[in-house]
Amino acid sequence: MIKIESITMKEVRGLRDLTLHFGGESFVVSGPNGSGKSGVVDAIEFCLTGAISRLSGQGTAGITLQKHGPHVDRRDDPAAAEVTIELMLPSLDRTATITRNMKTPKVLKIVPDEPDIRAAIEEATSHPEVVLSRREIIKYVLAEAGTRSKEVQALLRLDRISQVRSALGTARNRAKTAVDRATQDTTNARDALKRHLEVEAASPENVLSSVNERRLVLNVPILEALTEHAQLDDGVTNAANASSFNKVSALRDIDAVKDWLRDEGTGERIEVLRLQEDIQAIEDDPGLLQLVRQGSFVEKGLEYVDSQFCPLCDTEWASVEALREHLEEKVKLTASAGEQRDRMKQDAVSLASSAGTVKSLLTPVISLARSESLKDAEGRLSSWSDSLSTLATELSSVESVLDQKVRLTQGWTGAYATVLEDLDALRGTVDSKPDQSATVNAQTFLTRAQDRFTEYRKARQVLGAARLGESASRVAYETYNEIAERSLTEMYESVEADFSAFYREINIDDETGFKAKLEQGSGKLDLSVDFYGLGMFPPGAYHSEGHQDGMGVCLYLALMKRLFGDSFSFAVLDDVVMSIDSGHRKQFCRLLTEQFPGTQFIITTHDRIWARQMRSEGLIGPKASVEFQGWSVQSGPIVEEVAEVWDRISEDLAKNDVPAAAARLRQHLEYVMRELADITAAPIPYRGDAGYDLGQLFSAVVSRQSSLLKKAAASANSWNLDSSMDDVKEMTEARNAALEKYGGEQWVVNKAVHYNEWATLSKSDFEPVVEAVKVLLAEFSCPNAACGSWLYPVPKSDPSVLRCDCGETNMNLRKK
Amino acid sequence: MAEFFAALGENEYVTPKMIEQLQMILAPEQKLDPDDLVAIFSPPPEEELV
Repeated sequence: MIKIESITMKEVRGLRDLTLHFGGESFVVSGPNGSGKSGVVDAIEFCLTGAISRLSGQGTAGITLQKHGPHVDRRDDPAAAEVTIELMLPSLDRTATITRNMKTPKVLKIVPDEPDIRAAIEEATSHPEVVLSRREIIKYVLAEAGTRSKEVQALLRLDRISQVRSALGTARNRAKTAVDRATQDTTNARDALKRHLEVEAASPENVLSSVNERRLVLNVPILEALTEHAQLDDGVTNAANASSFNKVSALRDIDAVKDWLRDEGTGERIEVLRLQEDIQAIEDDPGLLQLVRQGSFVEKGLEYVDSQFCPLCDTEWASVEALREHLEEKVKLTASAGEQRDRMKQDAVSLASSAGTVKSLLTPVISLARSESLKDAEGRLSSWSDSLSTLATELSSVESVLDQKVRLTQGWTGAYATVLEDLDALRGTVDSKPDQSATVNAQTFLTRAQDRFTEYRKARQVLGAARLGESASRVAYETYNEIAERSLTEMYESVEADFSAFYREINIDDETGFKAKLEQGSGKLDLSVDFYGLGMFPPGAYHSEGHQDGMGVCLYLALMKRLFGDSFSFAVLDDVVMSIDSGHRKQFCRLLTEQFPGTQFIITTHDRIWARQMRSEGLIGPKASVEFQGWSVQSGPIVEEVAEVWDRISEDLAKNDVPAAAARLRQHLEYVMRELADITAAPIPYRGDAGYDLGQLFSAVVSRQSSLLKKAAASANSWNLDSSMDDVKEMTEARNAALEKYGGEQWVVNKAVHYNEWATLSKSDFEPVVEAVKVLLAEFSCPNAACGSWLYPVPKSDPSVLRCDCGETNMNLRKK
Repeated sequence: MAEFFAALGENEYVTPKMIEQLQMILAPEQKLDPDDLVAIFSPPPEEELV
C-alpha cells in the first residue's frame, strides 16, 4: 500500500491548478458544499485507478470520464487534465511519483519506473475501495443481502471463489455426462462381443471357452488366462492379414438387428405410450405446457451457469450463487409439472438408450452391406442409423421430446418400411456364400473376436478413466466447497467481531453491548445488529441515520482491516460521517487514531467544526488541513491553507502580484477570525446565515482576547504568582504592540483586505501590512512553533484556563 | 488454496498430475476457463483386464 506525500491536480473536475501537501499523514479538506472538496477525492481516485466512480454507475448515462472528467473549460481538451501524486511505499521504504492524464486514463506514468516500485503501485492502484464516499456506505449497511454480498465479495476479492466453485461444478457435471456416455458405449461393445462369441456373459471363463474351442480347431495353443495383453487370435496363421469376415458371425449380426426389430422395434413400448400420453396432455393444457417448457428451459440454463451472467438471457446477477438460487426457484415454481416432467425424462432416457443400442447393432451390418456392394441398402441403413443418433440427441431434454410427437406416433425407431427386405437381401447375399471351412471359420472367428474384444477393452478403459475423472472432479468440487465455506465463515466472523468492536468504540456511551451478525447464504450476506439488547434487526430497522453512518464506516474499516491487515496504509473518507453527532465523532477520531495508527486518512467534510475536532482530538496534525472557502468556475476552489499561507503570500509579492497577495491575506484573515471567534467564544451578534464580515469578527475576537487576558491577570494577582503575572503582562504588551502596528497600517488593510481596493497599492505599500497581520496573529497562538495551535479558553463558557494544544501556554483564569 | 490442494493430495481418486494441473489452472493470476478443468478430469484411458 501507499501513503500520499502530495498531490498536484490540473484541470480536473472543479479544480484548475492545485497542489496539496499531505506529508504522508492524515489530512482534512474542509469547505462548504460546492467548494471543490470532492474534486480532490475524484483526483486521487483518478490518479490511483484511472476512473472516477462518481462519473459511472446508476444515473450517469451520457457522462464519460474523458468528456466530463476535465474542468468544464477544458471539456474538449482532456489532455489538459492531469493528476500527479508523490507517494511513499512503506513496504519498500521508497518514494515515487505517479502521473495520470485524462486523455490516456489507462496509462500510469511511474517515476522511477522500477519493477518492484511498479508492482507495489499497481497492487495499490488495483484497490478503488480505498476511496469511500457516504453513498458507498449504503452498499455495506443498507443494501439488499445479495447486493451486499456482491460488494463485500468484490471488496475482499472473493469473486474468484465463486468463479472457481462454478468452474469446478461445470467440470463435475461434464464428467458425470462422460461416465453415462462411456457406460452406454461399454454396454454396446460388450453386447457385440457376446453376440459374436455366443456367450451369455462376457466373463473371462466364457470368453476363453468360446475362443479356445476355435483355437483347438486350428491346432494352436489354447489361452490359459485372459491377461492384460492376451491376443485371442494369437498364433493364428496370417491372422494379421486375414479377413475378419466370418459368415456365421455376420449372419448373427444381421439376425440381431432383425430380432431387435421383431422383439422391440415393432412392439408397443410402455415408455413410448407414456410419452405420447404426456405430450398429448401437455398439448391439451397450455398452462402445463408453459410450466414444462419453462422448467426444462430453466433447468438447461442451470446446467450452464458458470458466471454471474445468466446463460439464458445474459442478465448480470449479483453473483453466480444468486443466479443459481434464482433459477432453482424458477424450477421449483414449475413443480406442479414436475412429476410429469420427471417421468418424461426417465422414459426419454430409456428410449435414447435403446436408440444407441440399435445404432451399435447396425454398425457391423452397414459395414457388411458396404463390403457386399449393396450400396442402396447401405445408404438406407446409414440414414436410419443417423436418424437414431438424432433421436438420441432430441431425447436429451424434455422440451425437445415435445417435438418428437410425430416420430413417437409413427414409430419411434424410425425404421424405414423396407428395412426387413434390405436385411433379408443382405442375409441372402451372405448366406449364399459358400460355407467357410472349419479352419477358415475358426480363423475369421478369432480375428473378429479379437476386433470386438479390443473394442470392448477400449470402451472399458474409457469408462474406467471417465469414472476416475468423475470421482476426482466430485472430490475436488466438494472439497473446495467445504474449505471455501469454512474459510468464508471464519472470515465473516472475524469481520463481524471487528465491526462490532469498532462500533462499540464509537458508541461507548450508549451501546456498549452492541453486537452484529454477518450470515452468508447462497449469494447473500445478511447483516443484523443488536438494538439496545432488544433483539437482532436489520441496520435500517431502528437505528438512526447517524448510527447507520457509523455502522457503514465501521464495517468498511473492518473489511479493510481484513483485506490489508497491517498494510492498510491509506484511505479517503469523503464526507462519510456527516450524520454522526459531535460526541460520537470524537469517539470516531479515537477509533481511527487507536485502531489504525499507521493509516493515512484523507478526510473531506463540509463541517468546519468537525474539521477542527479532528485536529483537537489528534487525528490530524495542527497544519494538516486545508479549507476551501468557496469556488468559482474561473479559479476553482478558494483555498485557505493553514500551513503555507505566508509562503504563498511571499511568492505573490515576489512576483509583484499584490492583488493575489491581498486576496490571499483577506481569505486567511477571514478564516482565522472565524476560527478564533468560535474557539474563544467571542461575543458576536448571531446571524442565521452565518454571514459575518471580517470587521465584526475581528473586533469580537480582539475584545474576547482582551477580556481573557484581563481575567488571567486578575487570577495571577489573586494567587500572588509573580511568574504568571509576568507572563500575562508580557503577552498583553506584545499584543498591544502588534495591535498598534496593525492599526498603523489600517488604511491599507481597509483598502486591500477589507474592501478589495488593491488596484492602487504597490508592493512596498502592502509588505508592511502582511508583516503587521502576521505579527498580530502570532499573538493569538502558542509561541511554540511545533504546536502552533490557537490559544483558547476551556471550557468555552465561564472558562477556567486559557491554553494551547501542547500545554505550553496554560493560564489560570479563576481568581483565588 | 493450499489447504484445498493438501486435502486433494490425500484423496485416492485425485492423481498427483491432476493436482499439478489444478495448481496451474487455479493460480490467482490465471484466467479461469471451465474447459481447462474439464480436460483435467478426463484422464486418458489406461490398460486394464476384462
